[in-house]
Amino acid sequence: MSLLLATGVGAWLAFGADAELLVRANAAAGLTATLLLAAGLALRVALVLPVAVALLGTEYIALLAFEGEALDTRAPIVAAALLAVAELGYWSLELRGPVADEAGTSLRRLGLLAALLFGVLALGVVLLALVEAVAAGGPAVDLLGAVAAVGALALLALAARRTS
Amino acid sequence: MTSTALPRVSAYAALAALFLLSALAVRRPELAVLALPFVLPLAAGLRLARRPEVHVWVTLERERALEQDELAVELVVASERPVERLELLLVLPDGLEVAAGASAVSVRLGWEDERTIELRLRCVRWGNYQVGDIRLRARDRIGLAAWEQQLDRKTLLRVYPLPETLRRIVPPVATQPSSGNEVARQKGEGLEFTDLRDFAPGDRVRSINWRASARRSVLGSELVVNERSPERNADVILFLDTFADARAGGRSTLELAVRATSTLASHYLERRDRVGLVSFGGILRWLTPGMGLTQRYRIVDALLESEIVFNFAWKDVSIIPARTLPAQALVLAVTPLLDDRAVEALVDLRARGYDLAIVEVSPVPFAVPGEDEVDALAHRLWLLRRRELRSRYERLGVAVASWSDDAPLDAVLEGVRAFRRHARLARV
Repeated sequence: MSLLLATGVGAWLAFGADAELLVRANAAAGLTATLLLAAGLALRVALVLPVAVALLGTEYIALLAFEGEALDTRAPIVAAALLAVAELGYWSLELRGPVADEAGTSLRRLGLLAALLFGVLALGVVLLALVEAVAAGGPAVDLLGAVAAVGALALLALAARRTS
Repeated sequence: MTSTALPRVSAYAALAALFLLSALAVRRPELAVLALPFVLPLAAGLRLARRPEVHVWVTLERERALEQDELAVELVVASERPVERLELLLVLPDGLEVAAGASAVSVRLGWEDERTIELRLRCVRWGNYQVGDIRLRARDRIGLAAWEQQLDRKTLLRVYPLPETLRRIVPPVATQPSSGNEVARQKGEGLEFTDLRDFAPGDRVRSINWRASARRSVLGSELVVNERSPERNADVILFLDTFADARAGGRSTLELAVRATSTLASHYLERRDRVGLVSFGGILRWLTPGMGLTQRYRIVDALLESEIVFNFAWKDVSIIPARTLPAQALVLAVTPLLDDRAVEALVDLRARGYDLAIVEVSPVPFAVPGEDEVDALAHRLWLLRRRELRSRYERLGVAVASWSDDAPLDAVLEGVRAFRRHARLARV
């Protein structure tokens, strides 16, 4: 699953570019990420997983750096997809261990992953909306800034109280 | 419990850092969103991580088993706090294997939860085993932190060797005064008919053989009486050579020797003989002769502790306590005849007048000759030397039977009995 998803994300980001050179570069990065992931899963090397995810992320970084000025609304989807690739990869490695899971473990974990992905998507959308609002400016942003400042102070006070 | 951060922590932290730095470098806020899925689990996971407190109990179905027996093991795991994933590994010593279930399992525990894990173990080899070395590994919900602990809940499991089928044993030459199952050579009160003799004053009337007396009366002779042999017991010393053994593929001559010794001990004790044990090797162990079920367990328990301990000191029979080797005892040696000290000790015992028989646990199946000519020649010379050694014992009037795993012990002992029927009068 992790491998399929990585291939899909790699291809999507590669063919989402307009410039020929960027398509090629992203396709190469996506292919490398997929191959690395496959090797890591086959050889049970966990260290390779973040490298593969980073390569897929690099495709998106390149896409944003070289093309498109407007706010890209695909960001939460890409973020959720990258998390899914990493989580499914780690899960795949754990499944190949000698420990026998009790019944229902997979379903529970799948539910947790789905909730995490949904949370990431929702938070990503909220974050992008905030960014857009900040770019537009106005009293709403000032109010949000004030709330954030109070929140930060409250957090600091809470932390100080706990340590004392 | 020792806590460790799982590889996911550093991986997610690195990815989050990469995407946040990229967001700053490229000046695109979308990349900060990319960092979000890696920052969120880190923050939530490290905040929610709690050190678990797990209790484990191990129960064995029974403390004694025979080789190839299966027995149930119950692991009870309890925790007051929830544990998202608790991996539990029961480390099994060599000689035990899992027959059903799994020795490594993962469970999820809730608040004040308890789980029972059942598995079945198969006893592959005899021995004393400590069952209950448990490794625990608890993981948090997101899989960022793990806590590991090694628990010692050891219970002793004694696995006794599987007895060989044996119908007849090697009869001793001399018997002891106590009653038993062995027909003594002496004449006296007993059930076994031995001879006829003339009636003498004091003989019981019921011992008169009327048929024989009637036949003799025709010839003008007097009454004749039956003479009988009493049933006595014997002293049997099982001499186990633990100086050296031959091993191959998880099997060894010591393993076979212990099985043979255990079988012989059981059969002699069933005949009400007094049986003792001398484990002659790097470490000398002995059991003075005794009778009954208690002695049987003593012997088998002592055999379970048999092991090869390498020792270069020269040892002879003089180090064996005198009370362990009673006069006129049958010494039955179970040995691979690999170590000169054991070989010479047996010769010495024969020279001291002990009734000696040897069951040679053959090391030949364990020693495969090499492929080249020199190796093959060396193997042949070794076989010749072993044959010469057996001849040496036979010249001393000692029966030597070679036993390997593929032959029944009963057939081998028949060879010893046959030899002793004809070589009984041999003298050193």
